[in-house]
Amino acid sequence: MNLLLMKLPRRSSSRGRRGQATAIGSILFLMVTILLINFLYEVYMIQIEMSQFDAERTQERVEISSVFFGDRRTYPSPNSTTISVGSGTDPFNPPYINSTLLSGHTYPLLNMNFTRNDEGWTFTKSYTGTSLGASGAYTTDVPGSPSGAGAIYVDFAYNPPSGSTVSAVMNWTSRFYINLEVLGGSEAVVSVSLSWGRKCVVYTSVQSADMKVYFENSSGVQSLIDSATITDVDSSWIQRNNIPISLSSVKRSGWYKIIIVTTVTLAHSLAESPEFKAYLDDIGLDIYTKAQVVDWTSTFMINEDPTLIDQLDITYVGHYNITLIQSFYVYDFSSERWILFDRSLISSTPRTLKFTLAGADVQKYVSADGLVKTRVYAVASPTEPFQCIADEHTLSDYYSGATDRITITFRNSGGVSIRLVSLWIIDSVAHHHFDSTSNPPFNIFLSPGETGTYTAHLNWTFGKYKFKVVTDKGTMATYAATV
Amino acid sequence: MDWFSSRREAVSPIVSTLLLIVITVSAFSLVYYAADSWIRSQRRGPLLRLKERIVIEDVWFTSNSTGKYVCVYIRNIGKVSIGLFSSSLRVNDAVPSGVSFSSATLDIGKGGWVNASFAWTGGTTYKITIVTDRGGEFTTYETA
Repeated sequence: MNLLLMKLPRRSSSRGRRGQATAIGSILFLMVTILLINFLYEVYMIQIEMSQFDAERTQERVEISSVFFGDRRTYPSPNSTTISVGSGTDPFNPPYINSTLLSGHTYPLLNMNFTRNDEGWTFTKSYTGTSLGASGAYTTDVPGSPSGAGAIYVDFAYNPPSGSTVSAVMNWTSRFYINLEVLGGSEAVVSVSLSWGRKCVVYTSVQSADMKVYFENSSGVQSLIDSATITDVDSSWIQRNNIPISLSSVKRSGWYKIIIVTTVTLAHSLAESPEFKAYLDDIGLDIYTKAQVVDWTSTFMINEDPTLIDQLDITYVGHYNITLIQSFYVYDFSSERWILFDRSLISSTPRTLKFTLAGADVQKYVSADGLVKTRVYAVASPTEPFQCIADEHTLSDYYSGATDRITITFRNSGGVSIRLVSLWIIDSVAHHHFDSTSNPPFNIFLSPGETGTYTAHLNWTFGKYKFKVVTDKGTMATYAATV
Repeated sequence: MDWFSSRREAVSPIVSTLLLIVITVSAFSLVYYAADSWIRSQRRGPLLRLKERIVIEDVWFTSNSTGKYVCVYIRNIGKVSIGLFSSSLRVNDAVPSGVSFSSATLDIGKGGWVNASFAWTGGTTYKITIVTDRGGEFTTYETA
């Protein structure tokens, strides 16, 4: 028992010594482990950071989309605006432009009077047998129609065997497009009517003859608009005007047709040659509309010599208080007409239209005295008065007169934003460097899809040039040009 | 006798305990010091080298009446400053003579020229390498 008591404390003391050393050793081991883990974590974080950097860099895409040896000047707003339709004085400032209710007629058929040819119309025929002598064509004859000389005709001349008859169906068809959006939508259409005229000039041994006029809507559904049974030659021109067409037939934009079907049956004759001939002329479709309209023009006056202009960049940002169709035009001074550049649905969210006019004929958009004209046309149904608000309208011209400027256009074609920090222009003499310390500073931010331009102040001569642009992450793009 | 006997036995445990602790502390201090020194050295060199990025923007083979030169424009696009030294430029893995630079240290985002005398031949493609003072190497190929 005593022995047991003497040994017990010794065992306890031994365990304590080992325990203290183990505790201290564990703490120190833990410290070393923490130190190493901390270091490994630091390495890991750096690698993650640089991997992200490299990944972002690989996502960068930049391109030099064009180089222009010359200068670019931007005109931030038009010199003047003219409101043709609408009430208001300034499209850029309140109260902006309020629409005006306009009514008018639209004639969608390309050729109504056949003054010069039968363009826009096609002739087809059908009958049993071959070469039975049915025909249709354009003629310069003067059938007596209100529009004067020029008409189309149908002619069927054939003598069937004794006791029999022969029939022919002759069609004149015009296919045309009705753009209801431009007219203010289907609600703006008040009436649609058809006019057509005829004169039967030969009616020999005809058993029966009739003419039917069909209107085919954009879905291909035909409806009979008018018909006439002809029993003899017409002594004068027969003009039928303003035959109504149901509004339900014109409900949407699309391709429509007018088809004039002439069906003739000839009987055998010994005494004379059986024949039927009739002229057709003055065929028109009249769409009468009432719509809310705003129509205004802008005029920019550029300071550069119009003959030196190589490119025009036009930007228009505008919106409305309703959703409607807006058309944007630029005036062609050579043909003296407005050229449609965009027709699209615009709402209360400002929409940016950007156009680049370049190429050999860009100067047709600049008058001899340096004017550039644009036009904004907006239309809505008659029950929706609207307001046109112009947010921004700018014009930039590129002119080749300046031999101390090179204008470079960049585009971010990648999926991440980029920052261009360095530009190199390399010619046969030197490597010219442009960065944030240059004048003007080269430091361009581009969102995905965005383009930017930089005009480098550099005297250029004829020769080969190489361009190189570098982003802040080191992505490069090159471009070669010869001037 | 009992008291003396137990007292003699008590000296050894205290000494051995202290000895064990001292040995443990010393051993781990050495380990800790070695590890810490190694980590510090890594932080000064290789770890920072991971953060180095350089873009060689332009290589210009030029000449004038005094000779032929190669001029290299580099930009520091990494996350740490970069140091250059007399052997920072290598052409075809050899150090050309007279290496000079517009700035010995390139801060983040900054660029600068590294120039050297080099008898280049037109139409020949050269391997251009930039070596940083931490040992980072960045290479491009350029035709004179």
